[in-house]
Amino acid sequence: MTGDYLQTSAIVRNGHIISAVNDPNEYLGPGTGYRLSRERREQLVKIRDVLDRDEVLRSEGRYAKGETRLIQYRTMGPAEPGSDPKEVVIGISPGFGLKIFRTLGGHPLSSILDALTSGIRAKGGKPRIVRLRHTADTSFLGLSAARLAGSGVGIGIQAKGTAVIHQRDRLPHHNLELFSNAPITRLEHYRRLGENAAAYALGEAPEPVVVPTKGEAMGARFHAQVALIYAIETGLTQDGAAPEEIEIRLTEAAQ
Amino acid sequence: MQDKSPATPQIKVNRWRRFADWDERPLRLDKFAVEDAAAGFAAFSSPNDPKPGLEIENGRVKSMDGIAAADFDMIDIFIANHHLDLDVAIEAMAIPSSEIARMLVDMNVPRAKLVRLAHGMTPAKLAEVVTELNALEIAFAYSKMRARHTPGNQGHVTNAKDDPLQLAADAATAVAFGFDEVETTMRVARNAWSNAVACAVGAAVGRWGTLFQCSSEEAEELQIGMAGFTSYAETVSVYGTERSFIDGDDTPWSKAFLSSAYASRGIKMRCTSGAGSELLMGFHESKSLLYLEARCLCLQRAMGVQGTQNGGIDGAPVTCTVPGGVRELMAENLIAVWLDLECASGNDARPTESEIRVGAKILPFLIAGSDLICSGFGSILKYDKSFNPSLMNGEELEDFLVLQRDFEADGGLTPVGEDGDHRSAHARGAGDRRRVRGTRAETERRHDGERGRGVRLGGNQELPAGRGRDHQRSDQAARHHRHRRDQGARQARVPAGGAASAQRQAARDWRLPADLRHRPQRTHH
Repeated sequence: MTGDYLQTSAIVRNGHIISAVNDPNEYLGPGTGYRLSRERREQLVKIRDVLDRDEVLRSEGRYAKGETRLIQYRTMGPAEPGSDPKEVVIGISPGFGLKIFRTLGGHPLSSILDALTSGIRAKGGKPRIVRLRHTADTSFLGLSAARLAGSGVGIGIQAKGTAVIHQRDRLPHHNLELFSNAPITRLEHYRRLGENAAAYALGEAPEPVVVPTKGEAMGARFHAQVALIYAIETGLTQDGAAPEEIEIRLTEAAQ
Repeated sequence: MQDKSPATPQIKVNRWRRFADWDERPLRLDKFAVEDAAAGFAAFSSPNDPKPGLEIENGRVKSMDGIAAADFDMIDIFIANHHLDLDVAIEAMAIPSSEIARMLVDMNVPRAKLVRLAHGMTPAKLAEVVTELNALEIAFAYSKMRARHTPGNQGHVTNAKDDPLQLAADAATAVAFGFDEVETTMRVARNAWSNAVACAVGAAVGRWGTLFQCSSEEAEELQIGMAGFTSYAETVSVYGTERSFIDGDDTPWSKAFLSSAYASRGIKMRCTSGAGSELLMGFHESKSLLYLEARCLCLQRAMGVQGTQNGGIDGAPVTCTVPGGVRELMAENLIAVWLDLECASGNDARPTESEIRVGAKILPFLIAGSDLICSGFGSILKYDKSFNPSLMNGEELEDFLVLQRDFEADGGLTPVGEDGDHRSAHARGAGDRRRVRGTRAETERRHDGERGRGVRLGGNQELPAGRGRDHQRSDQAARHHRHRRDQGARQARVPAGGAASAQRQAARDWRLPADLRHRPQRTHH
């Protein structure tokens, strides 16, 4: 026994020597040879810092209380198409400010709406907010908003901060401007997004907003969270649900 | 990133310093997800996955993977009617999955025999077979089952400023490195035509025969192809759940129609699918990534397309957060080639910040070979990637060239010397692009001075500030060309509406709103 570890390929596992003699490799293709056991696999997958759904939801929950002090959303009934040619509609997603309270970039949604509406006003546009409940897809949020807007120009924004400027009569994915990198989109970009939307509404052709990237692997950093957060939004969508007119009141702290 | 162990909020006094060292490494920017099949985070199997099975009655499918024909969703219907070869199905479905798995790596079993069997297998059966293989066996089987003898590669050429001159120069350079296909897209939708022309010209001066595509809104992408600026398309996306289709007012029929529109004009085309897209879109039905992708692939074969771009693609990063995710991406590529589809095998969207994970991800495909090893190697620098960075980009291109040398494996690219072909290609690309821009005096003036500089540039950050934001003028020139082509097209009695009218027709057939909607080809963060 004591000399067993001198056999070819001998190691000690759980107090026993295993080697080419008592644990020979008999690999002959799929289904044979060494395969991970369920138990061994369980051990391998336990690396540190692994996200789970409860943790992501808890961390969203922590932001809920802060937001209720900064912004109030009032539902005013079904949203009708507007007629004011200066009107830009901001179409927010089903869970915006109800279940999700900050963007992937960490900005409170109250600040986002403040930035968008003040951007629109600064350029001479009139912001109007509607909550869309039939979709959570950025393009369709934007297009639906544009169709309700007196100017035909709308902004679609998901609670996680992905946004688009859209125009009535355009193909769904043929937007005016897309803000697809929410994690690096800052408040100044949202403000300029609002300004540009108003400019399009007034018939101008503004310079598109650039959100500079350094080439970060956004998917690697954020997609696990994105999938979990976005599932909350799609879970709230209802086929054929009508858009709702929303009035917001921002407290001074939010501005 | 927070440590998740019980003492999370407190600073741990006795923490091993090595954890602090590791915290500084790029790997720690990656997120990892716990396996949670109910939330869609399961690579190979989920309790919600159907079990393989097939019942045929009077020459028709009575049930497939445990679902009765009466309960089929539209994906099942399309697969049962157009993918399954019922002459082969009984035989193929009767062979134990473990036995077929062994045939996949058995050099005595010819590829053709396995392809025939795959055509009689259901999505759940295909998934069950490849699940039997470990990563090494998948790579080996992939090497055996891929369709073309000679490996190739595809490069992305984009520019964060949509600058036409640099796009042309970079396309020419990509071709000089040997990319067989070049794909571009744009940062601002209205620059699609300008970018397409720029890259088409750049690619053409590099080497005759490089295939070129411009990924944009589906109807517009088809129009650009019909105008003759692109020679292939690969962004016709399909999904593994019905809700993912319906959410975009699409159906397998509308996608099939769009695919045939390309083929009818002599434009090469493949579809796009990949693990994680349904998960990112929020309609995963608590099914495994592999099962959903097996459905996508059967659907593509059923549509009759030439090939597929799969292997996660935009869903690769989320797939790589799950245990076994990278192996799953390999497995879904294997199903693609096994079904006899050309495979642009992902290795596209960058799923990690760890250079070690990058190298590990590419290796099996480099040594196994693939029709197109990357479905978008970033031939330009990361910050210029309008698709977001690729697994490998301009920064890592030389690492890839060395890997080819290390393993004596052909990844489709060829080293160029510092004074080599790429510089003259770059210069000719820039020069020819200038001619395409035509007689516009201002453009000429601007580019005369910059052409030489453009040849030496590494990326758009070296361009003068504010350059290249909007290219409506060259865009208009391209559209004018399109207009003339369209007139020709109408005379040939081809519907001028292209994909749009095709999709409208398909939408009517399915009684979906005529309000035409297209799925995003690329997901957003």
